[in-house]
Amino acid sequence: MNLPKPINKKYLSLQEKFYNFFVTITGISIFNWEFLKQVFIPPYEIGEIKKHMTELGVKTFPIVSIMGIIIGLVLAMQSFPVFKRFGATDFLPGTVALSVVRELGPVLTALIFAGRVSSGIGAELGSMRVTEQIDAMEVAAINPFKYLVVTRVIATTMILPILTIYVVFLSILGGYLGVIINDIMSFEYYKNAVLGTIEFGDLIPGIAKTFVFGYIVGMVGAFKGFTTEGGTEGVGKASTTSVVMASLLILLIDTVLVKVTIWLWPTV
Amino acid sequence: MVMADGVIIKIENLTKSFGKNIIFNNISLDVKAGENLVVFGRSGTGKSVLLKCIIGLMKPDSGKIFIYDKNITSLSLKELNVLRKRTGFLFQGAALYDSMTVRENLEFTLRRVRGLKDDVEPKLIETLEHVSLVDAIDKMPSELSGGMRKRIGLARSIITDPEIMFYDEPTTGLDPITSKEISELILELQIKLKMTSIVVTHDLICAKIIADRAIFLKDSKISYEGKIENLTDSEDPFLKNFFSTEIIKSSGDINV
Ligand SMILES: Nc1ncnc2c1ncn2[C@@H]1O[C@H](COP(=O)(O)OP(=O)(O)OP(=O)(O)O)[C@@H](O)[C@H]1O
Ligand SMILES: [Mg+2]
Repeated sequence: MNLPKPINKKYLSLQEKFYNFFVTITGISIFNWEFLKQVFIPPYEIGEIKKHMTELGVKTFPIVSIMGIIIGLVLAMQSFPVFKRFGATDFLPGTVALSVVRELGPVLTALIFAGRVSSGIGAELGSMRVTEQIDAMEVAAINPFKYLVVTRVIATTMILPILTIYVVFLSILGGYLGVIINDIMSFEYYKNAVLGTIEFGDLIPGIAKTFVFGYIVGMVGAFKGFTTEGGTEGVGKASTTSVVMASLLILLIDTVLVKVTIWLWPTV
Repeated sequence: MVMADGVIIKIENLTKSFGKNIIFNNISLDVKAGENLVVFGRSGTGKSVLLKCIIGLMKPDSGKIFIYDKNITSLSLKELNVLRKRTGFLFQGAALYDSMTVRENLEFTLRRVRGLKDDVEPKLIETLEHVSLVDAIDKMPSELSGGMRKRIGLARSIITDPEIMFYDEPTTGLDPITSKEISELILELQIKLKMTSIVVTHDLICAKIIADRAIFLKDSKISYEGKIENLTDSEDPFLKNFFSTEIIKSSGDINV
């Protein structure tokens, strides 16, 4: 794998920044291609993948739990007065559930995940690069791309959908809290209102896109880390730029995917 | 496999530069099977780069590098890996895997390189005994001192019983006694296992113990080559100056 090198100095002219931007785009495309080439070739490093999934799950569990409850709670509290004004509080559970399932759950979880995980992978692989641990694998005839990159990208791709489903579930519960703070509504009623509103067509695209987001988070972090240059300073840079890049890509691709799903499921 | 005259590593007209910084300008070098070659040179002359070129971590701008009779600059990764499994490499900074314990560092390397499935514990202990660090087996690299890391790095690189070893400053940062022990270990590996080694070092005591031959890198060239006594006793003002200062500072600076 031969990646083009960006210009590495403190102050860059506009042209150089532009050049580096294209170097990054090219680099990450080559990186993706390499991933696709290697992912189906054994050894599959199942042990490593499991280890990373567990680690990622444990690491992000507290923050996404809090976030899940709060999204639903705040959404319901904010919307309640408005719905009340129109005498439409019956529609509140369904509306909360729909927003959470279709958009807020997947995107907010992905953004939090990016903040926590992209930076972590960037820093981890970055420090392995600058302390020659990646070179050490290479001279021992171990494929570092497979062992370090492919396993992490698979892990992030698989774990984010699971986290998202969990967040969506908690948000809907949080929504109930938001409702009963303001009004009397039985949980039974709330549950039926939610289940009566959400359709299959709402669930699938929301969850499906989190696979893409998970892939982005792993890919960007791994790319930035694996290509780190310039010692400890480079590691810090790899870590922060991964978060920025992963978050931007998530928002950008979400916009495209929203358009695509509306086009594919026009009835909803 | 071995080339004519028992040559096992052959460098032909190697040129390497980083931008305007020319590291090697057309150098050639032969290393014979079973030989210990010591590489001297001031900091930044490209000693580490030389080792990395030979093992294929860095691509030369031009020139050929043969290990056995294979030109490594034109091998596929797969073919190169076959060769790499028969070599060992001690990095200047040890390059221990941070996320693994000492045991895992050794075991991971041994299992991957040799493809072993059975119990490797006796081999781990035996190798750690060589570097007198059996007690550190369950420690994380971050719990080790610089010199200990270096020795674990050494253990990790010899555990696969390589035929060719590349040592990048094996004794830097070690106390004089440990330093001497490591030098004797390198010599023992050469005698018992017929290992061929290229050793980058500043440590003259170590060099005197192990070297069959020495080269000196200067001005992008191999500027001196020969028996170690010829270098240390040389009347050349530069060498005289280098070796008189190196003795005092040998095993003084830590480069981990
Ligand atoms: N990846 C790299 N990119 C650019 N320049 C490099 C790179 N690696 C090494 N160099 C340059 O190559 C020269 C030789 O470096 P090298 O690490 O081989 O020195 P050395 O002889 O091993 O020194 P020391 O005794 O301090 O370890 C240095 O001038 C260094 O700046
Ligand atoms: Mg060096």
